[in-house]
Amino acid sequence: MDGYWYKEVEQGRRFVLKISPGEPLQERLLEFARSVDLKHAVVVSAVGSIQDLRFRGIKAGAKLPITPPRMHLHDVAGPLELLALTGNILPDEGGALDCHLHVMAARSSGDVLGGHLFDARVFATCEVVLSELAAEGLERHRSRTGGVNTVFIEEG
Amino acid sequence: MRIARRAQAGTMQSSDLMVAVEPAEALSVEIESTVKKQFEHLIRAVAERVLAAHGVTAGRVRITDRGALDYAIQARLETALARAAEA
Amino acid sequence: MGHLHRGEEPDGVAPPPPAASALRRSLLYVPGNMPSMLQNIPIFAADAVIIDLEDAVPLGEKDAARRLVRRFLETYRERRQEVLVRINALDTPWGRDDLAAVLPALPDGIRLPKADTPEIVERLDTLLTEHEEALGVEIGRFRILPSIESALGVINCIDVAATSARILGLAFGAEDYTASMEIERTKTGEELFNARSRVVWAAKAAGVQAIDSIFSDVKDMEAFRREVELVKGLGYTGKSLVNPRQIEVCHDVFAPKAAEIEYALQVVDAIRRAREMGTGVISLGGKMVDAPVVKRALRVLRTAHAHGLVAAAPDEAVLHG
Repeated sequence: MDGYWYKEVEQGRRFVLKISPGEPLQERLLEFARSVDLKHAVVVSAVGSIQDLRFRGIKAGAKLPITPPRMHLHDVAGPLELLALTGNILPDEGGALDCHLHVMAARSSGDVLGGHLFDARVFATCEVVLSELAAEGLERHRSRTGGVNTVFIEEG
Repeated sequence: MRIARRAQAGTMQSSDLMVAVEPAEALSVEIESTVKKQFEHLIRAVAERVLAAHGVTAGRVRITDRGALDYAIQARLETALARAAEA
Repeated sequence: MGHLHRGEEPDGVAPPPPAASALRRSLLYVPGNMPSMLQNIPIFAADAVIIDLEDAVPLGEKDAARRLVRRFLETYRERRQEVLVRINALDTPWGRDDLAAVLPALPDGIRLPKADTPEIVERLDTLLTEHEEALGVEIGRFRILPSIESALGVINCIDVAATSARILGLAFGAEDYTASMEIERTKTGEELFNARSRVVWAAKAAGVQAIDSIFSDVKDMEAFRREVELVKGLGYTGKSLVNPRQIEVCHDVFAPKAAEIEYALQVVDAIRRAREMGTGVISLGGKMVDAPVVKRALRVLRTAHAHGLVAAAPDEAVLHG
């Protein structure tokens, strides 16, 4: 590798998606992406409020791969303000869509918490802006060493 | 493992033992014990088992036993060997 | 010397670890570099022993002590009590080597010195996971007993207590605490009062046990008894000991008193009778028997049973019916 593992991509379609109260955030995102054949997308923004947030942190001193005993799982009933959802949607090795999202949310006190999102349910509302990445050879593969799915970039 | 220098481990307290090792051409185990008669052969058996397990084929091993049990003999000899190995 | 025979090969079977709620009234320190003391472990009547690789072992003997403990534990299979090992702190040159040496011999848990922050405990948690994976034993089997023994530790102990599912309790370390506070330790312990309170709050809030510090003057059993009674009154469930002579007094203080057991048995009878008669409100000697009274009675009977003072453990179902 001469240093960078990258791919230049064009911007494709853009979507504004409203997820209704009570619905699972990540699950609905994936369902929507499948419905509009959105294979590669980046979350531009997400705002609203969420409840039953489940996310994880990585324990101090943990070594790769990140297996469950090395994760610190958080379940927060909330509701919380959804401050940000960062990440992307890519196909996995089998072609099915895979969502990798990190979340930031705030308690009423203003304390912010966040990490690797497992899922959350929408509380009052959730408005997500997605931007399609027109690119082939961009997938997320199961990584043995990292213990988590990681992006795989086919060069050229 | 090779005995590269003089080293020792253990204490003279009761139920313990002192182990001193140093480089030598051949492998020898000398035992000095308060319970020498009955247990010398058992002490030697443990020492030889540990020396074999660590592949020690040369060196002078002197054990001054104060009524130590097998686990203590094994532990002190292993510590002396580790201290005597190459840095 | 019990079952320690010359030339006997240790077999591979390891006992299942005791439950987190196991009785830990007495945790007796045993110096890690002394065969004569290690070999006495099978005859000590303490609920747990803490084999010490830290302060009891001089710097030049850390390698010898961890190896001695490893070889001893390999011969001590049918364990009479819970076996914890106090390793050196992880940010010293010895802590990690201590773990690597002793864990294969399957102690029940690790007492971690200077547990000043949650992160320090979490680093031990992830290290133990690695060793469990390498040893092919159940993940989470090695427990942790963090020592709260500095001003920073006392401040952070509320978070420390909730850091890891491996934690079975918080231990208060008065010696290092008074050193870190640059104050004198006294026999009556006023200088420790606020720290002891905070540590036991943290332990109770996290649903784990609270173990008080050692009392080093082995000759003054009266002052020792008073200290055990004081900390029991604060909610502590056990105490670290420095000498086998302290075990009996410690167990005597932590054992429920006859009057407490008697009253608890009456509470259980009152409830059973009321239930049979279908009446809702239960009273005993003119006083209403409400939930806290029932909880207390249950706890007294559970502890009494553990002490062998009552034949059967209380029937929990009857009381929540």
